[in-house]
Amino acid sequence: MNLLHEWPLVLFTLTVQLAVGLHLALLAVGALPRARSGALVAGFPGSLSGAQDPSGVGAEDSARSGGQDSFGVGGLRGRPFLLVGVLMAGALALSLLHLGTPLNALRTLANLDESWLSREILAALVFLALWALDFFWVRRRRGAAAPEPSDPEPSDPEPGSSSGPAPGVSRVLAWATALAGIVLVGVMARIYMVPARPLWDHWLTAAGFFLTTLLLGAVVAAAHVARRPRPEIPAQTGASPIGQAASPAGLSPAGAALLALAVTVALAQMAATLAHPLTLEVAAGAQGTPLVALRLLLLLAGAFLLVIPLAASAFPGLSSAGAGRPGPWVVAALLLLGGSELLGRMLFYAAGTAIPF
Amino acid sequence: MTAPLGFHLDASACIGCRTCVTACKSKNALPAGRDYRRVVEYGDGSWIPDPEDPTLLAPSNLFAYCLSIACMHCEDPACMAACPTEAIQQRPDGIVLIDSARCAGCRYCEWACPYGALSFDPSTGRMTKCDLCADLIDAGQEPWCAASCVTRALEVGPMDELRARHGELDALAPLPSGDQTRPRLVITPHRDAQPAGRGSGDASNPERDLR
Repeated sequence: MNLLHEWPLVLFTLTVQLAVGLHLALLAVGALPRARSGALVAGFPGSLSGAQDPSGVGAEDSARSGGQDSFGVGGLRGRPFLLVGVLMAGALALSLLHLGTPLNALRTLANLDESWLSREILAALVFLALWALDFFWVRRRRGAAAPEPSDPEPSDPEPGSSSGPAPGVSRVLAWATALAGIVLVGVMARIYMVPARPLWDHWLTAAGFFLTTLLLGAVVAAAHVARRPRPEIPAQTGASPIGQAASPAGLSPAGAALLALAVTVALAQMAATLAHPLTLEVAAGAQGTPLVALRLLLLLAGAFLLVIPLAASAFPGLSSAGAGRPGPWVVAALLLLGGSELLGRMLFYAAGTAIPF
Repeated sequence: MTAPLGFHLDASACIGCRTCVTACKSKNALPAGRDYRRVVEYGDGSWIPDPEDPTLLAPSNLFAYCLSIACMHCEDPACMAACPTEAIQQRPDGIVLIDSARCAGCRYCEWACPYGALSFDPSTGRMTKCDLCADLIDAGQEPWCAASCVTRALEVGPMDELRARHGELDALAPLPSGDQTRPRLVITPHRDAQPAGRGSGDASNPERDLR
């Protein structure tokens, strides 16, 4: 079994799914409700200043901008937001390495009527274009607002409403990007669901791709959130139940939500992997059994590491025992879960490309 | 209009000599390890105590037959639908061809084909496959695989004529059902032939024949 047989596709598919998952995670965090204050927990694509961001995700960028996010979007417009586009652009570049004749890459859009591969490339380009529109829209707005840094941040009249100079456009672009990302992952899975490759032609292939998307996105977003202490929440702003529970361990509400999501998805991925006919075929081979076992073990270990900071949040006594800082746990879990997904995708290509008779 | 061409394979006559494979390899100057045509030997069997002397073993349910396969130039080619660059086209006479100038070498056609008929040429970065010796067909000659067959088990001709003479059977184990792509193939079955999708045997040399 040659695990490196299709390495450009392994990296391409995982990178695309990480980019889409990260975007979805950022968007989901931005949609978390903040209790009583009527604002959003995180500023993606909402309206919260990072200095008052109980999620903690806005701390970095708000600190950089003097505690103010004058154009009305929070910290997830920072590095993670940029990372989504960089990852997708990098993935498209990686896809060229798979082609025998990269100079004909542009021709791959020629058969949109029938070819799922053409549709995949189109969906990836649409995702990247929408992300870029959003990115440059935000930058333009930020640049327009920069000359007046003392402007007070506009109030947010109701949850989810727009504030600042036209953040509604950005919100629409962010949701459109998310929709394009979901379509992209679905189309990507559909490529492999062909009758000629029965080990791939199963609904669990699509389920596995979506679970990988959610898992990688949630863990990378959580790693970003968790690597800094949770900012103090002014008492008058109130805090969500998640925020109150997470407070003692220094885990922000967004971080807790992302970790809980990642643990759930990791367990679902274990179930999907075990049920997939390809796994059974691989495990039946002498070389495959230990690899499948390693894949599942890494998933389980990664999920366990994510439970530690969550448990420390729920039981403050654990924090004093050394489990309080979530960052190292999440980063370690990211390595294990990322390794598991890498191995799983290698097995997917190594076993699925064989002629089935 | 030119009648679509296809293959007749007489599995009862094929002895698995692989002369067709060698002829195809020679015609297309294919390197070691890459073939447009393959001969899959399929069989099964077990050992049971000999009824006359139980201390000995005797073969039981032993069977084997050979299927010479290449691109089936299907009526509904999955490779053509999968190709993102529209490099794979079908001529009016049914021959499925790859336009090398358009091929990006993505290999999606290879995954979409249920017969494993397409192969990647690393020297050119493009996909390749059987073209039914289109140059010979255009000159009114017979493709090398059929012309070289020592038992006359392989025949190329208009599909309507082949079906009229040999029937409609287009799949046997271990081939996939013909429903997927409607291959232009008609098979005269071996006496021990097993139905597609319900065979009890295995390919005897998958490393060689199914790579």
